[in-house]
Amino acid sequence: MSDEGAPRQIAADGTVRFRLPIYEGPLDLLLHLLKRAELDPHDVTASVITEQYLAWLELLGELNLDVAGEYLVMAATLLLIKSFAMLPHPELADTEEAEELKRDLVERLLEYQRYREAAEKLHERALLGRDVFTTPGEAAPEDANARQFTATIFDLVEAMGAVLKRMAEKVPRGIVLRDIPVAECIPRIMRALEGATRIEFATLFDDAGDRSVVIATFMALLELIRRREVRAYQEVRFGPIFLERAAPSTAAENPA
Amino acid sequence: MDEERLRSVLESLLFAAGEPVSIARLSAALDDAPRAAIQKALTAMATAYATENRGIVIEEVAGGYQMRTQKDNAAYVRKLLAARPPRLSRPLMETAAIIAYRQPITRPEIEQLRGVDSGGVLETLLEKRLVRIAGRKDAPGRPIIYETTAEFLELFGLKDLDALPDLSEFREIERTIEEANTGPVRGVETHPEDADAAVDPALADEVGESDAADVPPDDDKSSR
Repeated sequence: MSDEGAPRQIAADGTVRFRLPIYEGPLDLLLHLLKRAELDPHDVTASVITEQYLAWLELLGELNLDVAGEYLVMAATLLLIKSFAMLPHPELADTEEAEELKRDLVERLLEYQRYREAAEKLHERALLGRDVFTTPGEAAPEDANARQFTATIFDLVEAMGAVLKRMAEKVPRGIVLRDIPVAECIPRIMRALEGATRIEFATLFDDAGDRSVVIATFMALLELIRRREVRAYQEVRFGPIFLERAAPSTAAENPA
Repeated sequence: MDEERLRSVLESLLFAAGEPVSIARLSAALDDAPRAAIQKALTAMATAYATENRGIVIEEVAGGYQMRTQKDNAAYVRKLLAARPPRLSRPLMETAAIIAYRQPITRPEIEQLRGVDSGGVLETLLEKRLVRIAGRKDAPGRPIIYETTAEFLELFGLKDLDALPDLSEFREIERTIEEANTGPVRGVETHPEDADAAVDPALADEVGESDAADVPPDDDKSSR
């Protein structure tokens, strides 16, 4: 183990970067400090732990690293508990509060520790792909479908927002007052979907002249999704939204 | 179908499927053979495989039966397949364990337990399909709730969630807390003078350790 220099790397742009042990948050750091001091979580308020914890934060600061807020909250808690203990007249301190703070912290640490131990136990089991293997099996034909994510209303509204934004950039604002019945837009969407197995959400609005058309088309699309005539899905989370006709159960039963 | 024939067919089915197959699915493939007979045959097969020290074991995993290689042979299989074991960082394992034991659980609840932002780890768990969105909690803000998947059970070779490693020592810990609560407060110390001495060597040690830290390469961090 090298004891100096190793964590320092000089990046291409000349800035110095440090690699530090990754502590996953204040609880992880506290458990590490306790373990090294051969103390258990009940001793978390021992002054040596508080000092080391604060020294660690200071080091992060010196290295110009952002110290996440949760580390600072924990530091404040530790200092508060410590300050109660250091009062010259302990009888004046709100010992109730100090004890409660400490109890909460110890409980959090113990609980965190037990999940960590559970994680270790799980990791020691015979892991598929590491300790045990299976035959690959035949890929089920519907596997491709299973990888799709059904687009939620939020995804749709977000995509809608993007369409409107693009439109605002393109089209000079004029005053066009028109009533576009949503019902008129429905057959148009269905026709667009007839020609292709699927279309991308944004292309639905390609030839929409103004905002009212876009909005009416969007409302019509929501209606079709609600009626389960159209399905909206994504192949990757936050990816483009595709539309397809939902499984044409009625059409298959009564071929026209 | 006599019992010998049934075992033969079951062996083929489990081999071909690869994934865990429930008794219901086996029964359907076997033209509705009685489930009790299938169950009995599978149990007998599993025992036979085990007693004959075969390279294959039949195990109950994720609500079904699955053929798996004998784990003592792992090194040879890995070499043959040039297999890369799944990368499971400690934060990932921790978060998966919390979800497994506490599901259904929301992201704020996970973060409260871990004391740290868990969005990235959750995203990785979703991508690896070890965890899925189970819906929304009936609470203010309707937060998303997460649960583990069949793939999670399969990865760790668990029959179901009840087969998770027992955490009985939890009760012991809780008892300790009880005692700590009623007993005198330990550890609130007032020795500021010995603190300075402790700090510096600690830090030197901290930095030196960094590249050899016992944390596995952290995939979900570095990839973001």
